[in-house]
Amino acid sequence: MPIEVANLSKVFGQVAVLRAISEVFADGKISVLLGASGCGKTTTLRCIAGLERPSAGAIAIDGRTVYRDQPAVFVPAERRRIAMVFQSYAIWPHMTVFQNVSLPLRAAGAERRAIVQRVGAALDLVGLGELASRSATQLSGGQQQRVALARCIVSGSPVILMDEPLSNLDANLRIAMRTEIRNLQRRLGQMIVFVTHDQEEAMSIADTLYLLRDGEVLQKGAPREFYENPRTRYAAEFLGRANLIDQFARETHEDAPRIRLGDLMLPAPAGLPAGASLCIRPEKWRAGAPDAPGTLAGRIVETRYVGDRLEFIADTAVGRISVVEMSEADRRAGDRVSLTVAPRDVKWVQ
Amino acid sequence: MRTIAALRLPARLPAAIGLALLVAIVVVLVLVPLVMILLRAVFDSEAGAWAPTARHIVAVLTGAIYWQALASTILVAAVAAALATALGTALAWIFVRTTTVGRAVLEQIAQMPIFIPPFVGAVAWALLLAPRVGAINRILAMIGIPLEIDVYTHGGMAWVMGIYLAPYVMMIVAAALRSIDPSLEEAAQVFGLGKLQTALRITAPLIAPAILSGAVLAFTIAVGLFGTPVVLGWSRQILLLTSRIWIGSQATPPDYGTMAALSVWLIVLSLAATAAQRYALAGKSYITVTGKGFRPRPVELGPWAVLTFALSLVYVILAIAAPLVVLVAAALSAYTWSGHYSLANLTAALGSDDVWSTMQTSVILSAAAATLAVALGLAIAWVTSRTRLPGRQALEYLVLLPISVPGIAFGVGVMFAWIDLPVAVYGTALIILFAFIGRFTSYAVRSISASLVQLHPELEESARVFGYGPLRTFARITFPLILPSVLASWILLFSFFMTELSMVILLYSEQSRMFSVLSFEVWNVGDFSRLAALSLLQTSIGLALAVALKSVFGQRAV
Repeated sequence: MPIEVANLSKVFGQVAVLRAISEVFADGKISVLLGASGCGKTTTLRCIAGLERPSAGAIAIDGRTVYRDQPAVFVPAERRRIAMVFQSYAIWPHMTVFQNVSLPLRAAGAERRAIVQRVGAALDLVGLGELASRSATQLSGGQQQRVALARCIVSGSPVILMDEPLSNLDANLRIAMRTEIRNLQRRLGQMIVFVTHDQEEAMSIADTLYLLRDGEVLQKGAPREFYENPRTRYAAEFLGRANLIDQFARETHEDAPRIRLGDLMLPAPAGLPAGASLCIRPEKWRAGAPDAPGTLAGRIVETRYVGDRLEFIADTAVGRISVVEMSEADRRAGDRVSLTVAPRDVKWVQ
Repeated sequence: MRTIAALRLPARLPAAIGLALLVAIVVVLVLVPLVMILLRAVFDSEAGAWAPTARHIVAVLTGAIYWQALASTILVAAVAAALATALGTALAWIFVRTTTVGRAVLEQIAQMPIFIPPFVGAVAWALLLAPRVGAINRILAMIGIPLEIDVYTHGGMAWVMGIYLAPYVMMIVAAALRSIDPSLEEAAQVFGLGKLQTALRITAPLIAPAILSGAVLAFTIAVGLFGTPVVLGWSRQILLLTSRIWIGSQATPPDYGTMAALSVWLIVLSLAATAAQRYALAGKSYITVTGKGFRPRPVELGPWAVLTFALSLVYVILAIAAPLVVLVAAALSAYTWSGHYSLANLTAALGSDDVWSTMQTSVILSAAAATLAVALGLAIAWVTSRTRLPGRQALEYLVLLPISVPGIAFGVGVMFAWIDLPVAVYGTALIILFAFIGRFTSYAVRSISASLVQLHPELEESARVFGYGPLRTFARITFPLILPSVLASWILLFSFFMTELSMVILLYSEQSRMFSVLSFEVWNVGDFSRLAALSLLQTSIGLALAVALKSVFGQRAV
């Protein structure tokens, strides 16, 4: 039951919010749409839900076309058989928890007995079995979030859309709910399209990550693959932190292209084109005692001790470099260090 | 420690004196009149001696005319409230939720009837729909439609009240519609409810509390209206409670006991409506005022847009345009529907000394009362929201009491409060000033409290931290920030006072004859041309004030 969008476009007034996006979101997986505000991620989700009418293109859910520009097809939201978690949770305040969760079944005309049984099961699954008769206005943020999840589970829809579902929770609960959503999804096997602007959340929950920018998918991939191999400066900096280096020298040694960072000589990363920048993640650097030969020499300008790791910024011949270390080393501003990096950890971006 | 304790006592003393002063003012102006209504219903006062009596209560409970008045009041007010609720809710939905052409402008115009005095609206509709001579009836007769609509009936009263109360309901429901999170409706759609089902099962229950509040407000205002039922009911002697109270005041000697007992009826009616609303709404306030504005998705109407546009246009024509046109026509006629028009008539009607002296009295009294009521309201709102003085809640409770007391009943109470006292208040302009302040300070308190609540105390605290004393903080920080709501309250109260009739009619004297009284007298002698001219003047003042209010407070007026 994949979701296929083809040439999906949306124009608000003069502004093109989506520029011909074509993607297939895989069945039974969590697809995460990640991007800064205004990148088009929520619009994409709302177009799939049927809450927004696209300007052009096509959308099919499980092979059934729910939108097409020519000849025109538009299936309204209520007949797309999808489930959704809204950013505000959209828990109906005039209903009890039970009434909230049972609405999808009542809308579909299910029998009373089946409704009671399935709602009970869904509430148990999200740990709210005791609260069925409570008024929705008496729930905490985390409980509302669970009601919203139970509502999706009950609907039985194999497609769940989630629009920044965790952004209104406090930090600890947010991390716990990530795991919970992921476990639920593994157990029940629905596919989830999940929208977020939080890169850490995106990485920890996604099977496949889609980075959007200006209404286009800039890059997609599994989180690790994506993190290790960003293709653009934007992707490298949006997902995790990156040292982007422009001031390196190119050399040739025994017919092999090489790069030079200060005194540090490395084989050039494969396919390095002209005008590209090098991308080295802060945790890939190894810092050693100063004045070691064949290294990039630096002077520390700023350190930050964050408990489980030490972060510092060093002035070097190729500019300021951020480094993250797990070591016990006691470093202070003004100290000199030598930096090295493994050749496989040097990537290039454009 | 000792020095601090020593410093605290004198520092708190002015605060305590200030609070005591506020309480004293509120007790005299608000509580005493209310208590006097109850006392006068069960006591006879003869030259300062009070004797308990059940006479008045028995008279009112056994007199058929009073039961008729009660039944008529309930019937007319209920039908008017139903009409206002249906119209107001429909208009709110059209303006907030549809793509009807011109909805923004139409919404502004549809709020205007609030500033047309009820008395004037009734006069205009009498000119439009009086049997045989009403403009619409003449047109119907002219084009040969054998239909005569008679406005001098229960239905006519309810109709006129209903269209002028609709904007109150509209504004409450529109605010509720704007504050619903659109994702509540989107979620219903996603989980399988169609548009109609979503409207019935999600939207309707969410705005039901607002609709009910609007209906109750319309009912309580309708119960207390005086101008409309007198103008439309007099010729057939359809007399509501308010009319009966006025008749009691015209008797010689005035029938104080009956007036008191009937006022109690009026208060019971509006308290019952408010209590019913409380009961129905217990625990059902879904609309949280977060200040968060939502942009709801408008409904695509297609061809139905013509219908919604037509409905809002018809409302504007019925409530504003037609009344204005007929008033202008009548004011320019030498005598009613003579077919001869001249400006001379209008200038003569407006140029008389009587007009200018009563207008002067109205402006002075209204401005003074509005200023004092706003100042008192500001003080009370500040004390209740910014201090922890003991007794502040009681103060607020007291000052809000008259909100559900119809104007004429409150006027009766004010009259009783001062009539037997040796101080010269009864029979002077002061009594009208006191009545206005006592009855309407609640409006200022509500509006100013609302803006004080939205003003984060840290804005004031940071001024204190950076060296301003409490007075300078108030003058330089708090007051400028709440100035829009202070000004808006002033304009609103001023416009109420300029056209107030139900209290003034009981309390005025030669010295304090206001413009609304003059209009009423002109109606009493049946000079409709002159009446139309005066009504036009009142309406233009009302509309000018409405425009002023809009410009002070932008979209959030009233």
